[in-house]
Order: sequence, then C-alpha cells, then structure tokens
Amino acid sequence: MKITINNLCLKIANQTILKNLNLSFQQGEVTCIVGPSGSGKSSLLRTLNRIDSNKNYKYSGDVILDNKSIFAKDYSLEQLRKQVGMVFQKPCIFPFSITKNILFGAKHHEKMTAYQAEKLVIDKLKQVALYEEVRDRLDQSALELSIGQQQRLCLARTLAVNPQLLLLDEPTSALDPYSSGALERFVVDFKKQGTVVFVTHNIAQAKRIADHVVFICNGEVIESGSAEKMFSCSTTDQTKQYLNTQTCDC
Amino acid sequence: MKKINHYLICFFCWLALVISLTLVLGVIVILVGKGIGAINWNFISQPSTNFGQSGGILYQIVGSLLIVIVAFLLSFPVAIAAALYKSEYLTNKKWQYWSDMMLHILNGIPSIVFGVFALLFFINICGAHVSWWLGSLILAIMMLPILTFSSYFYLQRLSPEIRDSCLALGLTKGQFIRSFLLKRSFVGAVSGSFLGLARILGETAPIMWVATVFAGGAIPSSWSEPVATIATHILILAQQANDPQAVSNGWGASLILISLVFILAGIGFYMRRQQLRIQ
Repeated sequence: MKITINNLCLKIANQTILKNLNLSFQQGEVTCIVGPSGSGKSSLLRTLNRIDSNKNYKYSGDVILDNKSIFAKDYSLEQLRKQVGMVFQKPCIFPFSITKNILFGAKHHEKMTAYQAEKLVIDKLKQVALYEEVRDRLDQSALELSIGQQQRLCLARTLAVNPQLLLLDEPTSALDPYSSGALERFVVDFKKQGTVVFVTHNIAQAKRIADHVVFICNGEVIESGSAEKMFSCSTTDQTKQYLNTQTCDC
Repeated sequence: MKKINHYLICFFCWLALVISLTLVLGVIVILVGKGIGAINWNFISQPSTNFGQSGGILYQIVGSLLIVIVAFLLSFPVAIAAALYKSEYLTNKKWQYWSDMMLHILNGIPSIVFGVFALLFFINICGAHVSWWLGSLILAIMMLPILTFSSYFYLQRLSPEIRDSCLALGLTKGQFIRSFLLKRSFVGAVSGSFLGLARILGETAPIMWVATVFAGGAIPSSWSEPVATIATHILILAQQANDPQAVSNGWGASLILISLVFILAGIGFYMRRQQLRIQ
C-alpha cells in the first residue's frame, strides 16, 4: 500500500497545524516521524486515518491512498480506517475481556466461527509477543494488564482488523524496555506485509527501526529521506540540531 | 493559619455529612419505631376497609407498583434514545443549551402542576377516564429528565480515546453506538432510575386526580380503571389523626413505602452491577 501526501494543509479553528506537506510512505517501509512536541506529528497521523470528527478541521491539498483521494466524498471512512490501523500514545483498553478486546473491531467487519475467532486471538497475541503472558487469562478483564501489556493488546486489536498501513503515535512513550523492545521487533517484522508510520521522540529508537525518517517542525516538513542519510548527513541545521540534542530553534 | 483553615474545612464537611446521615437515619428509625407495630402479614395481604382504619394495604401496594413500574418502562427507552441523540447527534451548541434547559425546566416543574395539567388536558379536554395508565404516563414524564441526564452524563464520561479507538478500528457511528454507547446509556439510565423511582413512588399530587381513588380501590382488571396507591392512602390516614388505629396504619404504610423505595433501589444497584460486570 502506497500513500502520497500532496500539498496538505490543516487548520483547526483557524490555527494552522500542517503547512503544505508533501510526503509519500512506501510499501514495506517503516517511516519514523520525529519532531518537537506540538509540531503536528499526531495531527498528521489523525489526518491519514481521518479521525477528524471535529468540524473545525479544515483541509486543503490531498492524500492519495492507492490512487484515490481519502477526502473524496464517496470514499468510505470505515473502509479507510480498516485499511489504515492506528494505535494511540496512551493505551486505550475497552472494559471487556482480553479476547473481546481483540475481536471487537474484527467482528464488525466479518463474521467468524468460534474456532476462527479463537485462532485470530491467539495469532494476534503471538504477533505482538503477548500470548505467553496472558494465555491463562484470556477471558479476564483486560484492564488488569500492565500498561505495556495493554499497549500491545491495543496493537493486537488493531492487527485483528488486518490493516495494510499502521499508524503508531508514540506507542512506546509509556512502556517499559521489555514492552518497547517487543513492539519494535513487531514493527520491523510487520513491514514484510505492510507499511508503518511511526511517530517517536526517541531518536535511538528511530535509528533502530526506521527505513525512512521525516523531521517535522511547526507543521512543516523540514527534511525527509532515508534513515541512513538523515542520521549520517542531514542537510539542514535544524535537523542536525534536533537529531543531536532533541531541541530545535525552528 | 493554613492548618487551622484545613481543619475547619474538614470539620464543617464532617459536620455536614453527620447532619445528612443523622436526618436520614432519624427518619428511618422513627418510621421503623412507629410503623413496625402495624405491619404483619394481614396488613400487606388484606385490602383496606373503613377508609384505612382497618384492614391492610394490599391494593395500595399493587397500585403503586403497577403505576411506577409502567411509568419506568415508558420512560426508560425514551430517556436512552434522548441521551444518545443529545450525546451523538445534537452537535449544535445552541440546541444543546436549549435541550438542557428544557429538561431542567421539566425536572423543576412542581408535581401539582403535572396533576393539574393531566386533569385539564387528559380528562377535561381529551375526555379520558380516571385510570392508572394516565398516572403512569404523567409519572413517566416526571422521571424522564432524571433518567435522561443520568444516561447522558454517563455517556459524556466516556473518554475521547475510547471513541477514537473504536472509530479507528473502522466501526461506523451506528456500530459504535450499538456496541458501546447503548450499553453505557442503559447503565446510566438504570443508575438514574434509583432517583427517578424514589421520586415518583411517593408522589401524590400528579396522580391523585387522574389515576387514583381515595377509597374502594381494587386490583385493576383493565387499563382504564383507577387504582389506590400507598401515597394517597397515607394522605387519607393522615387526615384521621384522632384515630390511633388510622395513625398507626399510616406509619405502617409509610414504612412499607420507604421499604419499597429501598427494594427498587436495590434492584437497580444489582442491575447496574450486572451491566458493569466484565463479559
């Protein structure tokens, strides 16, 4: 799945959040978006998933997903969100059992037998390295899991819908090293079957997983390119400063 | 100085709590003390005779429960639908404001006004008979704001992250409402029904002209018959203060009434707990 952003601008309540963005995310790549807080990274991800229920959102430009604009009136938002899965910064667990959490989205998209549902739950839990930790309590409340386990469960729930593009909005910011590592391994593994856009403040993490890096500041793309190029010979001073000190004077 | 202020605030909060609990406990203790002597199997299983001076309150218990339960059943689905509409579809802030205001006004209307309205509109203008269903209808309207607000506030407590997470999974708004909000609004309305039922169970004014009889009531055999209720029965007994037996029966009926409030609240709490249980 290829997604291309052309001259995208976003205003929320007359405040400019994204300015004239031009980007593309390639199939089979992990793109890390880095930048200071409030630079528009999360807004960009929410735009790609169209989680923009607020009527104050005003777009110009376009986002093309597989040759079709996601802003087109006949584009099904549900179909878009099924294809483009999103995991948020804070794990958001539904007050159900672990099994029900995973099946929550998937059951709305396709009917499945009890056997298929059970297989799906186990497969997805294994994919996010959570199965061994929760195999004995699949029918217990998911709220009893640790934060790291909850975030991996959110990821499993998203994967159960079978998305081709994954948007991960600082998913490891509140996680312990073990859970972060498990999630990073999953991301690297997932690019064999899809595309990943990963927002992070952790430059070391971006170095570990990114094929492509985008540096955004004040709603503008300052620089983007392959991870190798960005981390070794970035061309702008702002990027160099941010990648070295995680501060910027943009 | 800050410490003294802190202790003073704590003391007044504690005092307020003690006063509130003492009042409630005082009412319960007095009711039990005065009313328990009147209660026996005959009192709750026999119909009243001689304007309540003798006999029991069987028909009044049945009449009260009938009116209140039907009122609850009428009000409950409307409250859930209204709360869902307010929460999910009424995006215009002006309309939000006006809907809130109208519900608050409805909640604040004195019960006697409901009674007068029911008498003038349903009986005098529409030509309806004095019947228990009219009482249920009026009480349903009375408890509607409490149930709606309770359900609505429960929906509003849903974190935006849950809404976003649901939609991000590709659910339509209808699926999100069916699979998530409907249940929450139900839980909210059930918890609100404690207050609503407690309020309407003791109401006399809104139903006394359109749904009840003061004497000679029976278990209704059709929807167009009036019933006797505990609240109106207490009113009659209170007017016979010179008769010790009538006064004693009045205390007994009051104790039964408050016990019914507790039982209904208990059922509501149980249903709420069942609904909140992890499935």
